[in-house]
Amino acid sequence: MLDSSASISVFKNQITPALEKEIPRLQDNAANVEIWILESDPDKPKIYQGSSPEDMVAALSKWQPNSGATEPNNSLRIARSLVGAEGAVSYITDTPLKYTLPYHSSYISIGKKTPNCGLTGVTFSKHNNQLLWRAVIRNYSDSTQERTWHLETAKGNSSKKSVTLNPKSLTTIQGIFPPGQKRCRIVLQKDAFELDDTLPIIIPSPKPLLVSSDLPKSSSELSDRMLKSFPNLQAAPDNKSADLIISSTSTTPSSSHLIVFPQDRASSSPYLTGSIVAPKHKLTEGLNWQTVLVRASVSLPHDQADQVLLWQGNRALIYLRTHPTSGNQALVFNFDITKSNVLKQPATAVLLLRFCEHLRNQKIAPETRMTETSEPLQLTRHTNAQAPDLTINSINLAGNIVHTEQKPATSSSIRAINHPGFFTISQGDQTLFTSASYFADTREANFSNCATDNLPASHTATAINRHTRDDHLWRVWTCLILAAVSGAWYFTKTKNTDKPKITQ
Amino acid sequence: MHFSAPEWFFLLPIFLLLGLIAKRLELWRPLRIGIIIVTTFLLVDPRIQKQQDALDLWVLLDRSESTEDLIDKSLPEWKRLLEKAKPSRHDTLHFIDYAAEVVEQKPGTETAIYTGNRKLTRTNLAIQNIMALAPEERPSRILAFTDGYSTEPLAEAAAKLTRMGIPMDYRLVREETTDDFRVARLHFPTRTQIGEPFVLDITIRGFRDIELPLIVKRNGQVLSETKVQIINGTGHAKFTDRISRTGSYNYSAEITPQKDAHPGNNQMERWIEVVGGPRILLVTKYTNDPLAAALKDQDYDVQLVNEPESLRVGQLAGARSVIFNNVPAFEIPTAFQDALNFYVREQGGSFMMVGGKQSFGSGGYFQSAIDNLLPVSMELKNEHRKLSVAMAIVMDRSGSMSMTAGGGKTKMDLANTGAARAIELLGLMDQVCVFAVDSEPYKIVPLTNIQDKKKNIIGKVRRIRSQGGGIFVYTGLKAAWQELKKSTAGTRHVILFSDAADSEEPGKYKALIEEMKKGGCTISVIGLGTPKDSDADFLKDIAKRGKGRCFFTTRPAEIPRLFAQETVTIARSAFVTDPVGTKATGKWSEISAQPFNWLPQVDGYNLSYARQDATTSLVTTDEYLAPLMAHARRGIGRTAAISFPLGGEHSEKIRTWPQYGDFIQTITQWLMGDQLPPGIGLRHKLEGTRLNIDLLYDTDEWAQKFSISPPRIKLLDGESSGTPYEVAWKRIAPGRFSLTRDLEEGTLVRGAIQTGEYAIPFGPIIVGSSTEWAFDPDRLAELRSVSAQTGGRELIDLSQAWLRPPIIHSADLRIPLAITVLILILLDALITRTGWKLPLPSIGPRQNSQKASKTRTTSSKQDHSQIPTATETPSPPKTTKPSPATQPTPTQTTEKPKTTRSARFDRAKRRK
Repeated sequence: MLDSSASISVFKNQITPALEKEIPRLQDNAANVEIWILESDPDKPKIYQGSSPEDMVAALSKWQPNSGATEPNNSLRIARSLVGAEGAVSYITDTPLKYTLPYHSSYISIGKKTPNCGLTGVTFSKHNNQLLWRAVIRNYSDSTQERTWHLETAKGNSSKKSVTLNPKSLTTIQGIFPPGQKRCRIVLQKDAFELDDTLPIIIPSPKPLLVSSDLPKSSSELSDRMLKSFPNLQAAPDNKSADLIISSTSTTPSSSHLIVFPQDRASSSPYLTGSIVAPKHKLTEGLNWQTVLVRASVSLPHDQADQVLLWQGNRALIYLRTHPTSGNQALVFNFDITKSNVLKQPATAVLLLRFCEHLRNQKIAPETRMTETSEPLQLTRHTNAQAPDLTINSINLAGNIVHTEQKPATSSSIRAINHPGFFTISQGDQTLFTSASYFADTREANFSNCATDNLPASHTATAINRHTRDDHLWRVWTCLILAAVSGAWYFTKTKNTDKPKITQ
Repeated sequence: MHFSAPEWFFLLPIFLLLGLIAKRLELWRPLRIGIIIVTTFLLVDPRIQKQQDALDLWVLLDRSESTEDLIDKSLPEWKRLLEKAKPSRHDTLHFIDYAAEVVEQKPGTETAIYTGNRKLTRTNLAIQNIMALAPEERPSRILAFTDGYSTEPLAEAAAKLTRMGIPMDYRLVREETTDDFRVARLHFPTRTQIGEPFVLDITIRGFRDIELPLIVKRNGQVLSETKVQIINGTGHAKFTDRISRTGSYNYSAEITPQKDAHPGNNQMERWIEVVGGPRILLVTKYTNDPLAAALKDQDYDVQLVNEPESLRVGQLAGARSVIFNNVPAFEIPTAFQDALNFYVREQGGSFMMVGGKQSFGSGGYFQSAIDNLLPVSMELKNEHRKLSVAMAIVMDRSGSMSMTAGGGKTKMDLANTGAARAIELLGLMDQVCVFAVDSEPYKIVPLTNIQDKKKNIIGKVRRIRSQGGGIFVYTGLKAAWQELKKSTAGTRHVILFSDAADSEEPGKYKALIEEMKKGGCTISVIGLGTPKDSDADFLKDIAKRGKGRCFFTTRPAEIPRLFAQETVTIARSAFVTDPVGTKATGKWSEISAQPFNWLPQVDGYNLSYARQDATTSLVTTDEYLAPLMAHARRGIGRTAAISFPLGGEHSEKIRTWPQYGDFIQTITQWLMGDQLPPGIGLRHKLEGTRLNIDLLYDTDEWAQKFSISPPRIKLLDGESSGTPYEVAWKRIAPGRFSLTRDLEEGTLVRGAIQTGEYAIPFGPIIVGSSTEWAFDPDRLAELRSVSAQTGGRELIDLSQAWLRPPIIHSADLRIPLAITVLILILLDALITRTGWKLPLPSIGPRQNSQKASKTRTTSSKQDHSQIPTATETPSPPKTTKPSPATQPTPTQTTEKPKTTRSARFDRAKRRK
């Protein structure tokens, strides 16, 4: 079982010698040995299965670890299950373990302390209408390190700048995103661990949720506040183009999603009484509604298919309606919010924000953002039977395609590329996702705890006995021995001990 | 078709040219043309894409308890049908048994019968195994015979199967008439806030519509007893509950049908965590504890526990600090004491012990689970001891003590070790006697002054062996008292070690104990078993009447610790009852910058010694210079010891101290630690036996902190002590770390996420003990989904099992081409050697050729009509005179070979 984490790539050359030493030891007198080489990340395919050490070495040479830190237990369980109780399971990693591995597994640590500096991430801010990037370089080692860095674009590279990194310190570098460029890349001087030496950057552009409101002017403050304070919400020019309509009258989300705040013109009525209970739902999880005060205003009846998010006594205060054909949703506040203290409740803001984010995520629209390598992507796309496949294109700085991969539209596992770089995901003619992917798991970049250690796997006698073949010539050898002994008996004369009688 | 090396096509023009130049090569001959063309094709290495013509069918057989019989019943028939439907000998059939483990069936070996654990259905593990076993170059297909209720999610298998192109078919194996009722779902939030109502939604499923009794419990206490009506196989019950105290609470729902196929799934339990502001768990036996009042005055949320026996590990959830105010160790459940270690060290909680006669060493905390947490050590140093002790150890050596207790030791060995440990802790001036008791007492060591005989005494004790029978308690105690009577020591004490289920012959124990009490002798009991065992009440009564302590343990390994604890309580602890002066060390500044005007004297204190890593703020001014106020860090938690009482006896001075409230507030403030910064949260979910934990954080707030110090997760299995272990998070996306871990059935897990100096505790989370019988409908839906995603189907007709997945592979044509070339060359050689001619029509005018053909046909017909008989002399066939229209072509071509052959014959003759 090989540690899937990227850090072991630095010591990859040590794996083969370690295995070449361990396997013959385990094999002992066995005539053959069956080897599985698996990764600790259970999502990854097996690296090798067979009994040929040469093929195993060839398979290992093709292997490129690039995952983040991974808990090996699940894969160890599979490994133990494969080899049975008598086989040996050995986990090869780069850092000595402080605990005993489960499933009677042993480990071999092949790492050593290695200085490393790397880029840990990037943030963006606006400065004088220009996009400013800010990246952090971390020196993981115990000594001061000197590095150079530069920025690469499709048009060329910036001049190299040097930076002195104190032991175990963070240093921030920043710059203006090159105007007129779609992509650029920060490149740090190479060291043993290369995955964190480049940081591709792309200008993020989240998909917007278009919102319109048909609330009366007296209540329009609510929609204005939502547009102002919630991220990625944009005012739609009209109701037709809106993804979400904030309404006081419509309750059927046939053409677009709805948030319904009914208005009650009746004079003030008494407050509702009864326990306020929120059934388990991801929109209301962890929210506290206990201080909500609601007047017994107009009520919009809900049907059985609606999901009630908040009850007070027997009255559904907030519920979620899903249109049976369009799938659009309506979040209905079943009371006049202007006659309650709901707008002062933090829970209301969180609920509305969660609902808007949920709708935005459901929208099929282009999006651009930074991702981490191998990050699972929640990509909203067409998934019906006629939907075209997804095309994942790795691209270079100039935007040219360097690698293409197709995935079915219904694929459940869509991930960012597994190495730092740029990529797009398209469905048919529409580019749904554009991203720059960078390696972000700082645990893997830290080699200060790496060392060589060995807790060898114990080979089980029964397994070896079972795989030890008899020498098929044993009977011949036995017969030859018998023949030799017989020959010896035949040709060796018994000494005559009878003394001749002396006669006079 | 495509070619690996199309450049080899250049051979064709070369040979064409060669044929023209070197005519002797006779390249125009059809066979040679064929040879050249086929050889060229061989060299360009043509490959065609074609469907694989073999299949590995991996048959998964669910051997878990819920399907075991059904599989056994039908397997021979399935095997027969699958073998029969096998399309070719290239197809192979593999049978994999699985439940909690996965074993491939290999006929003729011991694997032919599944002998593993059947309490779980690990379908995901089985699929992962097949993916590791399946050769990549051959198409594979999975066929699962299961009831569909996996005890672990299958999501990760789906993606991998799809990637490998392995479709998964399934056939649901169920009993046709299952007279089973079960609690299908117990649904409520995993976390709620203090006082916030939440809904408990219970779903019951059954095979017929009846009314079933339902009991809902919270922390083992019945919350509701009601009836649920099952309609169309399903019944629902909803309850609303609210909890006004933070902590973790266990809810269980149980049905009790009269007739039921699988009683294992009639109960379900889950935990809810009630969160709120920081809370202090104050355990005290004082009524109107002034410490509680002072804390409440400071607006702390104090949970007061006056019955220490009722403490549960779940109460630690949400508590920021635990304070023991003069409570003896034996009254605190062992599980709770053990849990405190993880709570402080890993979950970032804090613990404080306050002095009194039942605290520290006097309270029996020496070598307890809490001992190492405290900043002070509790055993009295020999040089500080002023009174001698006479101790009698009465040990059970009945038959039950010969049972093994693990590690190659018997219970008797551990009891001997315990007694030896007790003797080790006695001082030189103390006295000891030891009795081993079965049906009568055996004096192993008479009353002896320890002096320099410790080694000798311990040697005798270690040689005690179990002899059989039960323990006669009365005679044992009587014998011990007879020995202790001889002693003049100030303290006389008996430790009775006995089996809680086998303590016989109480005799006149009450009168005996009364007599011992009058003689100044106390009795403590260490019972092997539980407080509910048959003789436990008898042992408890002995301890109560004997003014001692009573311990019960089911873990033999704990016996030595309990002996040590008891000995220190009696012989090596001291609560100094005289007022003593105090002296500040100036180190209080580590807790508060505010200087403190300490009280000059305390009324009494527990004599203890500061540990090396502790900071002592206040000490006594007597000869011991003992710590009165000490604190230390333990892991990422905090711990403090106040050695003088803050309430009850010997606390008059401190209670009238004007700064009592300030002192309590300051130390409590330090214990509570800093608040966790916002922007970070935890979500956990249990699916079958798989625990998923997600750490979600605001990247703006935490990303940089985590790049310096990534979050760590520590887990501890079980309620009691154990070694916490760290597991590796998987970084999923910006703002999210995730952990997936398979747990054993019935496991209770607590954990903490540590981020620098902060910790986010979670748990306890419990894995149901009847997961196999949960029949979670989500798992069945997931199986269908995985099958659909991978291109599989529900298989009713097993003859359709061998459907080859549409795997197109690149087929190599070199071998058939090479064979063709070989045949052609041989044929060419043969023809060349024999001069045989291909029976091809000669090249000539088309018309003539047709005529010749006709002639041959006619001739053939005539030949057929004149078949010679055996008796007839063969005669040349008669030919009709050919008409001009059927005139054959000139005969030179047919005669020429004759000429050539005769010429060759002549040449051969001439050579001779």
